[in-house]
Amino acid sequence: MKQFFYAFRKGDALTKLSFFILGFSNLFRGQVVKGIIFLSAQVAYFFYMFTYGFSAIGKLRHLGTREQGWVFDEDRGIDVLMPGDNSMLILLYGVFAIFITLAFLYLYKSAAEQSYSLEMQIKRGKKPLSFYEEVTEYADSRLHKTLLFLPVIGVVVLTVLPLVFMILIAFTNFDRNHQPPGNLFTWVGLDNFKAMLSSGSVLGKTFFPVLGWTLVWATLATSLNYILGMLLAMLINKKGIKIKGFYRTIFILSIAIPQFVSLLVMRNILDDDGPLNVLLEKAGIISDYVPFLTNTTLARISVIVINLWIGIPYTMLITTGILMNIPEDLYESAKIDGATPVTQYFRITLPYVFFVTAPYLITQFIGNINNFNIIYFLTRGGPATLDYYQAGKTDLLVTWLYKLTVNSKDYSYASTIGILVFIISAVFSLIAYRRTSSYKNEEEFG
Amino acid sequence: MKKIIALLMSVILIAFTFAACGDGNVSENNNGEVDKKETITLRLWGAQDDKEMLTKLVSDFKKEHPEKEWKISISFVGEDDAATEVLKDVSAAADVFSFASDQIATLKKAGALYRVTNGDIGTRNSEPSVQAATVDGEIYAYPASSDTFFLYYDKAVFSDEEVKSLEKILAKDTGDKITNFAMKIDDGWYSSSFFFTAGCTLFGEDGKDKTKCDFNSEKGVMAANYMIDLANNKKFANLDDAKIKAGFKARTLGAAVSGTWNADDIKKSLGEDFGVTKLPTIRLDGEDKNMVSMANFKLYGVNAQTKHPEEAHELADFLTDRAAQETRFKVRSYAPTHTDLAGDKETLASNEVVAALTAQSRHSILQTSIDQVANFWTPAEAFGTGLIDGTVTKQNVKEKLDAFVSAVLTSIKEEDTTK
Repeated sequence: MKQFFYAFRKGDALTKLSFFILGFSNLFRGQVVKGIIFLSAQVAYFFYMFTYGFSAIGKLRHLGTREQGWVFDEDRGIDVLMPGDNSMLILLYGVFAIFITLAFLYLYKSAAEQSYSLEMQIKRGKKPLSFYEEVTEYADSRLHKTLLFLPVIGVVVLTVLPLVFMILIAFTNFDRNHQPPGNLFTWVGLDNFKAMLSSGSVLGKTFFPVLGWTLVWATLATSLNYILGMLLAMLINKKGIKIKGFYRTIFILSIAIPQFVSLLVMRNILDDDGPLNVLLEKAGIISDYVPFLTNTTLARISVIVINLWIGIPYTMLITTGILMNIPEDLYESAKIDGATPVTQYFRITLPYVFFVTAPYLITQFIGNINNFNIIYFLTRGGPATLDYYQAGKTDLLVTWLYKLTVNSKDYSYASTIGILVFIISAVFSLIAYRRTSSYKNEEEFG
Repeated sequence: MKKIIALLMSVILIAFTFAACGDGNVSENNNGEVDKKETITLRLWGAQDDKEMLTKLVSDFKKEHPEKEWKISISFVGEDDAATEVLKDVSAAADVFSFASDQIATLKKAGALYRVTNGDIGTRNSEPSVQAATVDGEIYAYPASSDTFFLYYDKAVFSDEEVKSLEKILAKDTGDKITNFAMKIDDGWYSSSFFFTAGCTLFGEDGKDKTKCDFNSEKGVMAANYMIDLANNKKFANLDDAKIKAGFKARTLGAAVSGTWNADDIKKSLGEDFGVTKLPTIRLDGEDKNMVSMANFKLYGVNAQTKHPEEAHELADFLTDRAAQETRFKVRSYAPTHTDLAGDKETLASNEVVAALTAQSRHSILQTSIDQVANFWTPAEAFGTGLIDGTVTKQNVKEKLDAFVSAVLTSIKEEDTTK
């Protein structure tokens, strides 16, 4: 920004003029093609804004005022549609216009600054680069920009823009009673958040218990996977064990099967009339079926245990690599000093492994908070309960969010949950990550 | 400097500008030549299973209307998903689509349906089907077929007489291997049957008042007690469609409640012993009452945003007229709603499944379509789960029903306004 104002103050008339007519300086200082491009971009932008953009941004204020209506046409004998405003499209186009404006402002700033640097170049007696020379530079000294261009545009258009759109929905009343195009929706400020977070409301009575289960689940799923995976890796890594490669392959096979396949198979096996129950009944161990997935407590235990099946191989894989890297002499000197295996584990192995895998652990925790697959494929959030609104006893926030959008079209509440989950995840991972030794003592490794 | 980014940005800007200008003047009509036939492009959504039938009906339609050049494409979106798919973007949805009648209020509310103002829909179809196509006193869709659930049974296990009453079905000793009766009672579509039979209503008499549900009344408690006994009965099993089909195949099931969609599979499994009839009676308060089922209708709707409303209505009308319904009945065993066909007992009797469905539809109640019903399914499932795992007992049943009803009638919005 500083550069921008500096350029405006110090530049000559031609440069100053380029602040109003983009590319002016380029045009008259030998960079004709570039000048034309800048100028046409400006013309295009203003054209877009005056025909379309300003009204799109202006409409954002109310998200539409005219409802769709029908007029009966006597001659044709049918209704004729009087199209009204479509709040969703207004919101989308408005956000789009803002993004176009931001993009243009960026272009404007760089064009203005360039006009000044061009002036300086000529003053210093250098010949300005021709268009061809400049383009070739992007295949050479500025290659990184060329390579990054597409990914950046992709992220902005396909991720950031929809994300902003979705986030904004949380501040509207876009629910099942306000479905476009027949109805309008509008801004409601923080009402959705209030409804979600006040403990007495319908949504609050569901939100807090579901949040509680989500956190319990994430903690247990992450820590058990981690501990058991590490133990398994250590077991296989032990000196006396033969055919290590075989054991590792066996366990990794469960990764080779697509997750959803394993989960759907498990769902069948654990069904009330599934093979496991039938087997136990035939063996005379139980007289009535065990409700593995239909009783609240059992279902919760089931999902955690099955998650071990899915998750342990990954931890095993990661820790195996680390274990093999721990210098053997550490253990030898510890043994000489008389350290028991337990002390060795807590003083050498654990700190070593933990140091490397702490960021992985955090990612896993966040991943588990949003672990849609396992819940959705295994229990569909069930068993259903009368206590919650549109949620079951094993529903995580993310699967509840899914149900709200798909079953009842309450998009605004779903978006609100999405934002809350993001806040929880972001705060947790930042705090946790900054406390890990891999962040604090980056230099100490090894 | 970030020149290349700037450059490419400007290119994109220009491209979008052109796109923006282009938008304004698309719909210019071409009234040029008179002798050239007008080309009408329509899109139709129907169920995958109806593919052949729809293709044939559409080609018939083209033959019948040679005055225009038709370009009709068919895509497959199931009736149960129609509302979800249409409401994703109404302007991108098909011009004519088929959907289940419980979605009509949602579709109408979102402004996705075109009012039907021409034709004889109201008079040519049976009263309940017209009601299913009606929102706020206006017809919004074309009834095509009716649907409900009824009883399938194994004739080797039960006689025609025994399946008339659920008590008789359950009383019969069929041995250890065979489950007498199966029904999915943790699904509101089926379980509501007991409440309706007892005389309860969901969302008022007409099913449109979202503040009313009397499942927790005295009658409701009576129905729930019946369900508790049923759930505790060893001869009863709570089975879903797949398990019912498997049960009949393994011949371990005596009778089960399901709908037309399973007819072919069950028929194949049972062969000669295939039996199908209306739902049995249940004994409530000392009186035998025929079980009441939720009825649903398949409807054809015209997209409110269609470019060719007249033609789209014409197509929808054609797809649901007498001839089309007859084709549907013959090819796909769909129960007709056209009064000529629905009243033709002889023809209907030729198809035992449709005959059973028609007999049951006399004891059926129209499935509600107001969007509050989104709050019905989950609590109904929860209540059913409670029946099965035994947490709902005769001691606490009133309490549980109160919770059930209050969950069904929950409204987020009212909570909002109290603040």
